Amino acid sequence: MSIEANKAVVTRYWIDLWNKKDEKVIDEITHPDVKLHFPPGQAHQPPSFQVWLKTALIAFPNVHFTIHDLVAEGDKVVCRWSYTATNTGVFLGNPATNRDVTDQGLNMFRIENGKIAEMWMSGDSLGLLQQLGVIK
Amino acid sequence: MSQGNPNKAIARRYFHEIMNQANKDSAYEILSEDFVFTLPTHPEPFHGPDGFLGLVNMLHSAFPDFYIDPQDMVASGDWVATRWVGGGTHVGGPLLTVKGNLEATGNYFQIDGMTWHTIKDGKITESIGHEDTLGLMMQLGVIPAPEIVEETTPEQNEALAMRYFQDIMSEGKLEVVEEILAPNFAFIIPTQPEPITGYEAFKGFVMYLRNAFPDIQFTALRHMSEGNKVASRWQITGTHLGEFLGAPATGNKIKDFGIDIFTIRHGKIVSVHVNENDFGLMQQLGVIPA
Repeated sequence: MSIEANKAVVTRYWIDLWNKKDEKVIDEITHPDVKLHFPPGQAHQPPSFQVWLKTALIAFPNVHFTIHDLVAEGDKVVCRWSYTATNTGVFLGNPATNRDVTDQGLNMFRIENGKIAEMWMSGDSLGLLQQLGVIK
Repeated sequence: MSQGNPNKAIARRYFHEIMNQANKDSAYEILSEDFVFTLPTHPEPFHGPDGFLGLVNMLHSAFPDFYIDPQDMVASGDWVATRWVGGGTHVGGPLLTVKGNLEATGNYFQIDGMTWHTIKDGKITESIGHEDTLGLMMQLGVIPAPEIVEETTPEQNEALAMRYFQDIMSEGKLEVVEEILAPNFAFIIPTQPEPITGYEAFKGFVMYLRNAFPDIQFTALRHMSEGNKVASRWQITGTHLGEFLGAPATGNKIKDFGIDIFTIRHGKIVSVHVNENDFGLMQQLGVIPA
Protein backbone atom coordinates (compact mmCIF):
# COMPACT_ATOMS: atom_id res chain seq x y z
CA MET A 1 0.00 0.00 0.00
CA SER A 2 1.29 3.46 -0.81
CA ILE A 3 1.62 6.19 1.77
CA GLU A 4 -1.17 8.12 0.04
CA ALA A 5 -3.46 5.07 0.21
CA ASN A 6 -2.69 4.73 3.92
CA LYS A 7 -3.55 8.39 4.45
CA ALA A 8 -6.83 7.82 2.58
CA VAL A 9 -7.74 5.01 5.02
CA VAL A 10 -7.11 7.32 7.98
CA THR A 11 -9.15 10.10 6.35
CA ARG A 12 -12.05 7.66 5.94
CA TYR A 13 -11.71 6.77 9.62
CA TRP A 14 -12.43 10.36 10.67
CA ILE A 15 -14.81 11.48 7.93
CA ASP A 16 -16.81 8.36 7.07
CA LEU A 17 -16.81 6.64 10.45
CA TRP A 18 -16.92 9.54 12.93
CA ASN A 19 -18.42 12.44 10.98
CA LYS A 20 -20.87 10.45 8.81
CA LYS A 21 -21.32 7.92 11.65
CA ASP A 22 -21.42 5.01 9.22
CA GLU A 23 -20.90 1.83 11.25
CA LYS A 24 -20.32 -0.31 8.12
CA VAL A 25 -17.04 1.54 7.58
CA ILE A 26 -15.54 -0.23 10.62
CA ASP A 27 -15.38 -3.57 8.76
CA GLU A 28 -14.13 -1.90 5.59
CA ILE A 29 -11.18 -0.06 7.13
CA THR A 30 -10.21 -1.95 10.30
CA HIS A 31 -8.83 -5.44 10.94
CA PRO A 32 -11.15 -7.70 12.98
CA ASP A 33 -8.39 -8.04 15.61
CA VAL A 34 -7.32 -4.37 15.54
CA LYS A 35 -5.31 -3.39 18.64
CA LEU A 36 -6.46 -0.20 20.38
CA HIS A 37 -4.02 1.56 22.71
CA PHE A 38 -5.63 4.09 25.02
CA PRO A 39 -3.63 5.95 27.68
CA PRO A 40 -4.36 4.30 31.05
CA GLY A 41 -5.79 7.60 32.34
CA GLN A 42 -8.25 7.99 29.49
CA ALA A 43 -11.75 8.12 30.93
CA HIS A 44 -13.35 6.01 28.21
CA GLN A 45 -11.69 2.65 27.36
CA PRO A 46 -13.98 0.99 24.80
CA PRO A 47 -13.09 -2.62 23.92
CA SER A 48 -13.87 -2.23 20.18
CA PHE A 49 -14.70 0.36 17.54
CA GLN A 50 -18.27 -0.98 17.44
CA VAL A 51 -18.82 -0.38 21.17
CA TRP A 52 -16.97 2.92 21.01
CA LEU A 53 -19.11 4.35 18.20
CA LYS A 54 -22.29 3.24 19.96
CA THR A 55 -21.46 4.73 23.38
CA ALA A 56 -20.00 7.89 21.86
CA LEU A 57 -23.14 8.50 19.82
CA ILE A 58 -25.31 8.15 22.94
CA ALA A 59 -23.27 10.80 24.78
CA PHE A 60 -22.23 13.04 21.86
CA PRO A 61 -24.49 12.35 18.85
CA ASN A 62 -23.33 15.45 16.94
CA VAL A 63 -19.57 14.87 17.39
CA HIS A 64 -17.64 16.37 14.49
CA PHE A 65 -13.94 15.94 13.84
CA THR A 66 -11.56 18.16 11.91
CA ILE A 67 -8.35 16.72 10.48
CA HIS A 68 -5.65 19.36 10.84
CA ASP A 69 -2.61 17.52 9.47
CA LEU A 70 -1.53 14.02 8.46
CA VAL A 71 2.04 12.74 8.38
CA ALA A 72 2.86 9.28 7.04
CA GLU A 73 5.89 7.06 6.62
CA GLY A 74 6.13 3.33 5.95
CA ASP A 75 3.04 1.64 7.40
CA LYS A 76 2.29 4.43 9.90
CA VAL A 77 0.11 7.52 9.72
CA VAL A 78 -0.18 10.16 12.45
CA CYS A 79 -3.11 12.57 12.50
CA ARG A 80 -3.52 15.85 14.37
CA TRP A 81 -7.24 16.25 15.05
CA SER A 82 -9.82 18.19 17.03
CA TYR A 83 -13.55 17.74 17.63
CA THR A 84 -16.57 19.66 18.82
CA ALA A 85 -19.63 17.95 20.33
CA THR A 86 -22.63 18.51 22.58
CA ASN A 87 -23.18 16.18 25.52
CA THR A 88 -26.87 15.29 25.15
CA GLY A 89 -26.78 11.76 26.57
CA VAL A 90 -25.31 9.65 29.37
CA PHE A 91 -21.50 9.53 29.41
CA LEU A 92 -19.55 7.29 31.81
CA GLY A 93 -22.65 6.97 33.96
CA ASN A 94 -23.14 10.74 34.24
CA PRO A 95 -26.40 12.33 33.05
CA ALA A 96 -26.39 14.65 30.00
CA THR A 97 -25.11 18.16 30.71
CA ASN A 98 -26.10 19.72 27.35
CA ARG A 99 -22.68 21.38 27.39
CA ASP A 100 -20.63 22.03 24.26
CA VAL A 101 -17.22 20.41 24.50
CA THR A 102 -14.08 20.36 22.42
CA ASP A 103 -10.88 18.34 22.44
CA GLN A 104 -7.75 17.92 20.35
CA GLY A 105 -5.07 15.29 20.08
CA LEU A 106 -2.82 13.03 18.07
CA ASN A 107 -3.50 9.49 16.86
CA MET A 108 -0.99 7.07 15.39
CA PHE A 109 -2.25 4.34 13.05
CA ARG A 110 -0.52 1.24 11.72
CA ILE A 111 -2.01 0.16 8.40
CA GLU A 112 -1.78 -3.43 7.18
CA ASN A 113 -3.13 -4.34 3.73
CA GLY A 114 -5.28 -1.23 3.55
CA LYS A 115 -6.85 -1.67 6.99
CA ILE A 116 -6.13 -0.20 10.41
CA ALA A 117 -4.33 -2.90 12.41
CA GLU A 118 -3.28 -0.83 15.41
CA MET A 119 -4.12 2.58 16.79
CA TRP A 120 -2.62 4.71 19.57
CA MET A 121 -4.60 7.66 20.85
CA SER A 122 -3.56 10.74 22.80
CA GLY A 123 -6.29 13.25 23.62
CA ASP A 124 -7.07 15.44 26.61
CA SER A 125 -9.38 13.35 28.77
CA LEU A 126 -8.80 15.65 31.75
CA GLY A 127 -9.91 18.69 29.75
CA LEU A 128 -13.02 16.87 28.56
CA LEU A 129 -14.04 15.83 32.08
CA GLN A 130 -13.43 19.40 33.28
CA GLN A 131 -15.61 20.80 30.51
CA LEU A 132 -18.35 18.36 31.54
CA GLY A 133 -17.95 19.34 35.20
CA VAL A 134 -17.13 15.73 36.20
CA ILE A 135 -13.77 16.99 37.53
CA LYS A 136 -13.70 20.48 39.00
CA MET B 1 14.91 4.94 6.07
CA SER B 2 14.06 5.81 9.64
CA GLN B 3 17.67 6.06 10.77
CA GLY B 4 18.63 8.38 7.97
CA ASN B 5 15.96 11.06 8.29
CA PRO B 6 17.73 14.23 9.52
CA ASN B 7 14.56 15.62 11.12
CA LYS B 8 14.11 12.40 13.13
CA ALA B 9 17.67 12.80 14.39
CA ILE B 10 16.78 16.32 15.54
CA ALA B 11 13.56 15.11 17.20
CA ARG B 12 15.58 12.41 18.99
CA ARG B 13 18.02 15.06 20.23
CA TYR B 14 15.02 17.08 21.48
CA PHE B 15 13.95 14.16 23.70
CA HIS B 16 17.36 12.91 24.79
CA GLU B 17 19.39 16.10 25.11
CA ILE B 18 16.80 18.75 25.96
CA MET B 19 14.01 16.85 27.73
CA ASN B 20 16.14 14.19 29.45
CA GLN B 21 19.41 16.05 30.01
CA ALA B 22 18.15 19.68 30.17
CA ASN B 23 21.11 20.58 27.95
CA LYS B 24 21.05 24.34 27.41
CA ASP B 25 23.49 24.33 24.47
CA SER B 26 21.38 21.76 22.62
CA ALA B 27 18.25 23.84 23.23
CA TYR B 28 19.91 26.91 21.70
CA GLU B 29 21.23 24.81 18.81
CA ILE B 30 18.10 22.97 17.70
CA LEU B 31 15.19 25.19 18.82
CA SER B 32 14.46 28.28 16.74
CA GLU B 33 14.28 31.68 18.43
CA ASP B 34 10.53 31.81 17.87
CA PHE B 35 10.03 28.17 18.99
CA VAL B 36 6.58 27.51 20.52
CA PHE B 37 5.64 24.60 22.78
CA THR B 38 1.98 23.90 23.48
CA LEU B 39 0.26 21.31 25.62
CA PRO B 40 -3.54 21.55 25.97
CA THR B 41 -3.25 21.27 29.74
CA HIS B 42 -0.95 24.29 30.03
CA PRO B 43 -2.98 27.50 29.68
CA GLU B 44 -0.13 29.43 28.04
CA PRO B 45 2.44 28.25 25.46
CA PHE B 46 6.17 28.29 26.22
CA HIS B 47 8.23 30.48 23.86
CA GLY B 48 11.83 30.28 22.67
CA PRO B 49 14.69 28.08 23.96
CA ASP B 50 14.74 29.91 27.31
CA GLY B 51 11.01 29.59 27.90
CA PHE B 52 11.17 25.88 27.11
CA LEU B 53 14.24 25.31 29.30
CA GLY B 54 12.22 26.87 32.13
CA LEU B 55 9.60 24.13 31.72
CA VAL B 56 12.22 21.35 31.41
CA ASN B 57 14.05 22.57 34.52
CA MET B 58 10.76 22.68 36.44
CA LEU B 59 10.11 19.03 35.43
CA HIS B 60 13.61 17.96 36.52
CA SER B 61 13.24 19.85 39.79
CA ALA B 62 9.91 18.13 40.52
CA PHE B 63 11.03 14.70 39.24
CA PRO B 64 14.81 14.22 39.73
CA ASP B 65 14.55 10.90 37.83
CA PHE B 66 12.42 12.41 35.02
CA TYR B 67 12.65 10.53 31.72
CA ILE B 68 10.95 10.48 28.35
CA ASP B 69 11.58 7.62 25.92
CA PRO B 70 10.60 7.91 22.26
CA GLN B 71 8.87 4.67 21.16
CA ASP B 72 8.16 5.31 17.50
CA MET B 73 8.66 8.15 15.03
CA VAL B 74 6.85 8.99 11.80
CA ALA B 75 8.42 11.67 9.60
CA SER B 76 7.72 13.37 6.31
CA GLY B 77 8.58 16.84 4.99
CA ASP B 78 8.89 19.32 7.86
CA TRP B 79 7.09 17.07 10.33
CA VAL B 80 8.07 14.41 12.85
CA ALA B 81 5.42 12.77 15.04
CA THR B 82 6.72 10.80 18.03
CA ARG B 83 4.95 8.44 20.38
CA TRP B 84 6.66 8.30 23.77
CA VAL B 85 6.51 7.07 27.35
CA GLY B 86 7.55 9.42 30.14
CA GLY B 87 7.69 9.29 33.89
CA GLY B 88 9.34 10.19 37.15
CA THR B 89 9.00 10.26 40.91
CA HIS B 90 7.64 13.40 42.54
CA VAL B 91 10.15 13.92 45.32
CA GLY B 92 11.50 17.37 44.40
CA GLY B 93 10.00 20.81 43.91
CA PRO B 94 6.40 21.71 43.14
CA LEU B 95 4.87 20.73 39.80
CA LEU B 96 3.05 23.43 37.85
CA THR B 97 -0.32 21.99 36.77
CA VAL B 98 -3.74 23.16 35.64
CA LYS B 99 -4.79 22.47 39.23
CA GLY B 100 -2.16 24.94 40.53
CA ASN B 101 1.23 24.18 42.05
CA LEU B 102 1.38 20.66 43.36
CA GLU B 103 3.78 19.90 46.22
CA ALA B 104 5.81 16.66 46.11
CA THR B 105 3.76 13.54 46.86
CA GLY B 106 6.57 10.97 46.60
CA ASN B 107 4.41 9.23 44.00
CA TYR B 108 5.75 7.71 40.79
CA PHE B 109 4.05 8.19 37.43
CA GLN B 110 4.47 6.84 33.93
CA ILE B 111 2.27 8.03 31.08
CA ASP B 112 1.96 7.84 27.29
CA GLY B 113 1.97 10.79 24.97
CA MET B 114 2.70 12.04 21.50
CA THR B 115 4.54 15.06 20.16
CA TRP B 116 4.21 16.72 16.76
CA HIS B 117 7.33 18.64 15.72
CA THR B 118 7.67 21.11 12.86
CA ILE B 119 11.32 21.37 11.81
CA LYS B 120 12.61 23.97 9.35
CA ASP B 121 16.24 24.36 8.22
CA GLY B 122 17.48 22.11 11.01
CA LYS B 123 15.61 23.88 13.81
CA ILE B 124 12.43 22.93 15.63
CA THR B 125 9.93 25.79 15.28
CA GLU B 126 6.94 24.16 16.96
CA SER B 127 6.26 21.31 19.38
CA ILE B 128 2.65 20.29 19.97
CA GLY B 129 2.42 17.87 22.87
CA HIS B 130 -0.44 15.62 23.90
CA GLU B 131 -0.22 13.43 26.95
CA ASP B 132 -2.28 11.47 29.41
CA THR B 133 -2.59 14.33 31.92
CA LEU B 134 -5.54 12.68 33.63
CA GLY B 135 -3.43 9.56 34.17
CA LEU B 136 -0.60 11.77 35.50
CA MET B 137 -2.92 13.51 37.97
CA MET B 138 -4.41 10.21 39.15
CA GLN B 139 -0.99 8.60 39.62
CA LEU B 140 0.29 11.65 41.52
CA GLY B 141 -2.80 11.48 43.72
CA VAL B 142 -4.24 14.90 42.76
CA ILE B 143 -7.36 13.38 41.26
CA PRO B 144 -8.73 10.23 42.86
CA ALA B 145 -8.25 7.19 40.62
CA PRO B 146 -11.54 5.48 39.74
CA GLU B 147 -10.36 2.25 41.31
CA ILE B 148 -7.35 1.35 43.39
CA VAL B 149 -5.08 -1.02 41.52
CA GLU B 150 -3.00 -3.18 43.83
CA GLU B 151 0.72 -2.61 43.34
CA THR B 152 3.25 -5.34 43.99
CA THR B 153 5.70 -5.34 46.90
CA PRO B 154 9.49 -5.07 46.40
CA GLU B 155 9.75 -8.83 47.11
CA GLN B 156 7.18 -9.60 44.41
CA ASN B 157 9.02 -7.24 42.06
CA GLU B 158 12.30 -9.09 42.64
CA ALA B 159 10.53 -12.37 41.91
CA LEU B 160 9.37 -10.86 38.58
CA ALA B 161 12.97 -9.85 37.76
CA MET B 162 14.14 -13.40 38.60
CA ARG B 163 11.53 -14.93 36.28
CA TYR B 164 12.60 -12.50 33.55
CA PHE B 165 16.21 -13.71 33.78
CA GLN B 166 15.47 -17.39 34.27
CA ASP B 167 12.31 -18.16 32.29
CA ILE B 168 12.61 -15.73 29.40
CA MET B 169 16.31 -15.01 28.92
CA SER B 170 17.96 -18.27 30.08
CA GLU B 171 15.26 -20.78 29.10
CA GLY B 172 13.68 -18.90 26.16
CA LYS B 173 10.09 -19.47 27.35
CA LEU B 174 8.43 -16.90 25.11
CA GLU B 175 4.98 -17.56 26.58
CA VAL B 176 6.19 -15.97 29.83
CA VAL B 177 6.70 -12.64 28.00
CA GLU B 178 2.99 -11.82 27.98
CA GLU B 179 2.55 -13.14 31.51
CA ILE B 180 5.07 -10.88 33.25
CA LEU B 181 5.60 -7.93 30.87
CA ALA B 182 3.15 -5.09 30.17
CA PRO B 183 1.88 -4.72 26.57
CA ASN B 184 3.79 -1.42 26.16
CA PHE B 185 6.96 -2.96 27.64
CA ALA B 186 10.17 -1.15 26.60
CA PHE B 187 13.64 -2.76 26.52
CA ILE B 188 16.18 0.06 26.48
CA ILE B 189 19.81 -0.78 25.73
CA PRO B 190 22.58 1.47 24.39
CA THR B 191 23.46 -0.95 21.55
CA GLN B 192 20.01 -0.54 19.97
CA PRO B 193 19.20 2.85 18.41
CA GLU B 194 15.59 2.76 19.63
CA PRO B 195 13.94 1.01 22.55
CA ILE B 196 12.56 -2.43 21.68
CA THR B 197 8.89 -2.14 22.53
CA GLY B 198 5.93 -4.47 22.69
CA TYR B 199 5.64 -8.24 22.87
CA GLU B 200 6.48 -9.17 19.27
CA ALA B 201 9.59 -6.99 18.99
CA PHE B 202 10.89 -8.19 22.35
CA LYS B 203 10.27 -11.87 21.55
CA GLY B 204 12.20 -11.25 18.33
CA PHE B 205 15.11 -9.89 20.34
CA VAL B 206 15.09 -12.86 22.75
CA MET B 207 15.12 -15.29 19.81
CA TYR B 208 17.94 -13.31 18.17
CA LEU B 209 20.01 -13.39 21.36
CA ARG B 210 19.36 -17.10 21.87
CA ASN B 211 20.22 -17.86 18.25
CA ALA B 212 23.57 -16.12 18.77
CA PHE B 213 24.18 -17.86 22.14
CA PRO B 214 21.94 -20.99 22.33
CA ASP B 215 23.30 -22.01 25.76
CA ILE B 216 23.07 -18.49 27.22
CA GLN B 217 22.76 -18.50 30.98
CA PHE B 218 21.79 -15.43 32.98
CA THR B 219 22.66 -15.44 36.67
CA ALA B 220 21.31 -12.65 38.83
CA LEU B 221 24.08 -11.85 41.31
CA ARG B 222 22.10 -9.48 43.50
CA HIS B 223 19.00 -7.30 43.53
CA MET B 224 18.26 -3.96 45.14
CA SER B 225 14.69 -2.72 45.12
CA GLU B 226 12.92 0.42 46.11
CA GLY B 227 9.34 1.44 45.42
CA ASN B 228 8.39 0.04 42.03
CA LYS B 229 11.96 -0.42 40.82
CA VAL B 230 14.42 -3.31 40.98
CA ALA B 231 18.10 -3.01 40.05
CA SER B 232 19.75 -6.36 39.30
CA ARG B 233 23.42 -7.03 38.69
CA TRP B 234 23.80 -10.05 36.45
CA GLN B 235 26.31 -12.25 34.72
CA ILE B 236 25.93 -14.13 31.46
CA THR B 237 27.86 -17.00 30.01
CA GLY B 238 27.33 -18.59 26.62
CA THR B 239 28.84 -19.92 23.41
CA HIS B 240 28.81 -17.73 20.32
CA LEU B 241 27.21 -20.00 17.69
CA GLY B 242 25.24 -17.43 15.63
CA GLU B 243 25.53 -13.89 14.27
CA PHE B 244 25.43 -11.17 16.93
CA LEU B 245 25.54 -7.41 16.29
CA GLY B 246 27.26 -8.06 12.97
CA ALA B 247 29.80 -10.57 14.36
CA PRO B 248 29.53 -14.01 12.67
CA ALA B 249 29.68 -17.12 14.92
CA THR B 250 33.14 -17.66 16.43
CA GLY B 251 32.44 -20.60 18.76
CA ASN B 252 33.98 -18.47 21.52
CA LYS B 253 32.87 -18.85 25.12
CA ILE B 254 31.76 -15.46 26.39
CA LYS B 255 31.17 -13.96 29.80
CA ASP B 256 29.68 -10.56 30.43
CA PHE B 257 28.33 -8.50 33.33
CA GLY B 258 25.64 -5.86 33.44
CA ILE B 259 22.97 -4.10 35.41
CA ASP B 260 19.28 -4.02 34.55
CA ILE B 261 16.85 -1.58 36.14
CA PHE B 262 13.26 -2.83 36.08
CA THR B 263 10.16 -0.65 36.48
CA ILE B 264 7.00 -2.47 37.56
CA ARG B 265 3.41 -1.22 37.40
CA HIS B 266 0.23 -3.10 38.18
CA GLY B 267 2.17 -6.33 38.66
CA LYS B 268 3.93 -6.29 35.29
CA ILE B 269 7.35 -5.11 34.11
CA VAL B 270 6.87 -1.96 32.02
CA SER B 271 10.51 -1.26 31.21
CA VAL B 272 14.05 -2.57 31.54
CA HIS B 273 17.00 -0.21 31.26
CA VAL B 274 20.08 -2.28 30.46
CA ASN B 275 23.74 -1.43 30.80
CA GLU B 276 26.45 -3.99 30.21
CA ASN B 277 30.07 -4.28 29.16
CA ASP B 278 29.57 -4.22 25.41
CA PHE B 279 33.15 -3.29 24.68
CA GLY B 280 34.36 -6.38 26.54
CA LEU B 281 31.79 -8.55 24.79
CA MET B 282 32.86 -7.29 21.37
CA GLN B 283 36.48 -8.09 22.28
CA GLN B 284 35.45 -11.62 23.24
CA LEU B 285 33.70 -11.95 19.86
CA GLY B 286 36.90 -10.81 18.14
CA VAL B 287 35.27 -7.72 16.65
CA ILE B 288 37.51 -5.38 18.64
CA PRO B 289 41.14 -6.41 19.29
CA ALA B 290 41.61 -7.47 22.90
